[in-house]
Amino acid sequence: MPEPAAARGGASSGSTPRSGAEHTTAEHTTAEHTAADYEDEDLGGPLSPFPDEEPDLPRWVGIVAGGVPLALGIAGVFSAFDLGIGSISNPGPGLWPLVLSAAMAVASLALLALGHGLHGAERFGRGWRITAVATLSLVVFTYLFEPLGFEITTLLLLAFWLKVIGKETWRMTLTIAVGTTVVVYLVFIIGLSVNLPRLLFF
Amino acid sequence: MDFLDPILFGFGVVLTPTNLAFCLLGVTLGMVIGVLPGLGPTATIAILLPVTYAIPSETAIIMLAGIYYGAQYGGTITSVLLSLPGEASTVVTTFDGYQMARSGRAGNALGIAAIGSFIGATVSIIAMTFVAPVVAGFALDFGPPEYTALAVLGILLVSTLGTGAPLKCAIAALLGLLLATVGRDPIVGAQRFTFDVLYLTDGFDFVPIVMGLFGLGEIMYQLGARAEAAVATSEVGRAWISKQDFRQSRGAIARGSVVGFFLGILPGGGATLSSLVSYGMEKRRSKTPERFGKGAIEGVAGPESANNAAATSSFIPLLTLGIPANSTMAIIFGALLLQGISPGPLLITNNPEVFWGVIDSMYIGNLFLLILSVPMVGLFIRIVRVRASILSPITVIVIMLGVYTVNTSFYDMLVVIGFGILGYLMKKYGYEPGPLVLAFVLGGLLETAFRQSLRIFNGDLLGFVERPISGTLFGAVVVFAVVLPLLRYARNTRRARSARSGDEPKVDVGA
Repeated sequence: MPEPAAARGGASSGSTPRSGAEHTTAEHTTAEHTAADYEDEDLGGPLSPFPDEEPDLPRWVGIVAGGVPLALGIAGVFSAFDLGIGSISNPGPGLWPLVLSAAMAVASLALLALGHGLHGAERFGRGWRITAVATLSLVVFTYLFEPLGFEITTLLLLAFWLKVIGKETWRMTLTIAVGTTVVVYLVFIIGLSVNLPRLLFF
Repeated sequence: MDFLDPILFGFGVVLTPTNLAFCLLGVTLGMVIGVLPGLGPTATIAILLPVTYAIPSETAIIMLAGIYYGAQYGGTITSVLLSLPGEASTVVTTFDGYQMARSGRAGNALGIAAIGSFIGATVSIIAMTFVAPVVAGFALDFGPPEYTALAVLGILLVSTLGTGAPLKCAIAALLGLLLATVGRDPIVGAQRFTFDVLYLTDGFDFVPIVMGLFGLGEIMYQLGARAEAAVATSEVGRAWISKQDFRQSRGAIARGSVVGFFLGILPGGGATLSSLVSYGMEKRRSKTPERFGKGAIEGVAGPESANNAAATSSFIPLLTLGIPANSTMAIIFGALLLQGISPGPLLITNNPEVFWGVIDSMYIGNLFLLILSVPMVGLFIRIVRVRASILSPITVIVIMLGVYTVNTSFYDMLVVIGFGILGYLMKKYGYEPGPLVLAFVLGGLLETAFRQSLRIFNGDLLGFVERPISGTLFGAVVVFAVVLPLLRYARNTRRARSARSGDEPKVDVGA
């Protein structure tokens, strides 16, 4: 899926063109299609160049998308009462969280009721496994970072991402991993002299 | 010529070797990340936040601003040559720019884009130079009720004008506001939502949240959806235009600049919106609208002028009111706060070196960009070939080490990972992280202003409406929160009905 990945840079206002499910993307790959899809009429709407389509996803995705904020909103309302609402002329610490949580619960209910839960959602596909492994490697990195110092951990994390996740060649892996670690050392330690956990003998 | 003095003072700030160097660094970096599909200017600015601790405030903001408007130039290059928009704001450029490239006119498309961008940005900077001090002067009278109204309106506009589903944007914004309440109560000092965790007593830090949501979340998202290697349609060594090109597109450039300037000021507006509006406008005005989408040069010139004009003018609400107009401005707002500067109407008197330095740096920065983008396009296009599998590990290391250096805190690293996961899941479930970050940044200000107003009005909520400025602003809130969604809903139902009768294949569901 080249397009959404490219367009999702998240520029101004975090508003990025959405091309929901994969079949939508295929349609937009050529410029003729995108231009043809874009009508002046759309300017009054969400100003999206791509007409939104309800992606073809299982229903639970929509329920999760609305249910999680709903649960958060309800929990927030209860904790806000625990904090103390105070009065309108003399608000306590809980008043503002109460307003926000209640609004969140209402908005989530509206989302569920209107059936917009799937709006803009995407298929997880097989990609989520790579993301999970990558995330796990970051957690391991974080826990080893202070005990081992940044040099070894940085080198290992880079090598893991390049070789295992990125499927680069060994030569490329070693070049980039060692090169980046050296640059990091020069910039952070020598250049900016910031505090990073270090190996004693480095 | 008294009013020229501060402007000249600003140039004095910019023209120091350090600031010039950081301005050049910023715009070059902006070009590069604009060319690279994937990380946008918002993510890049987020990732570079830790670096800004090490340099003076005006230098930091000059660099960050350069990244933002530089990316608008860079994004154009890939849109034209590969039909791959490097930035959301250059998506419309693919429509006609790519078609021009396919018919061998890539150089002309890039040339007019660069010149249009330069003119658009310059028009906008000149207008800003004169408008910004006036707005700041006007805002000096604003009290807590006005700031409440302004912050609500800003968050709301970002939620409804964006491309995401408005309800989901609203939920994301509310989550951002709730996250901002974590920690010590701003008025009575009670602990809220800290769950007895020591780390949370002062609330969430801005840097790990932004780096997680925009930086790491983006990388996690792209791991699952790797972009394919891009191949350029044609080799382009440099950009050029003919006299006829310019004659044909000068109207579009002029209109784009004006549209961009005004939409950029609007909260939620910014570069993406104005490029779309400009394209629509040029197409509607044209005597030959059928050329659009097939390589019309106005279709490149207009939107490119507009997005640069808007990228520039979106600094106005930030520098004069202290209200960021979009999520990139929200991060720059955060960067200013990290430097101990609170953006607002007093910025111009308290920190003139920041205010005028940043504005004047844009004159210089755009000049740099024009020089970079016309003869050196060929160089930048090579950057596209760097694979994501090499770029993302390096970016991840920069994020992880960068966030650690801010507080030398191991917990900040965990928070980045946590918000990275949140950002990834939000995208998968159709939520934009932009409104969340903007709301988080404004959260403290909004709550304090809201509670102070309640005390001023002695609990009478009607007080918000009775004051003229806050009343007008709240009127706008009602229009955007109630009236427009209803109109949109009515239109969509109508469309859905006509689709069911079979004459329109595409249904714009709940947009």
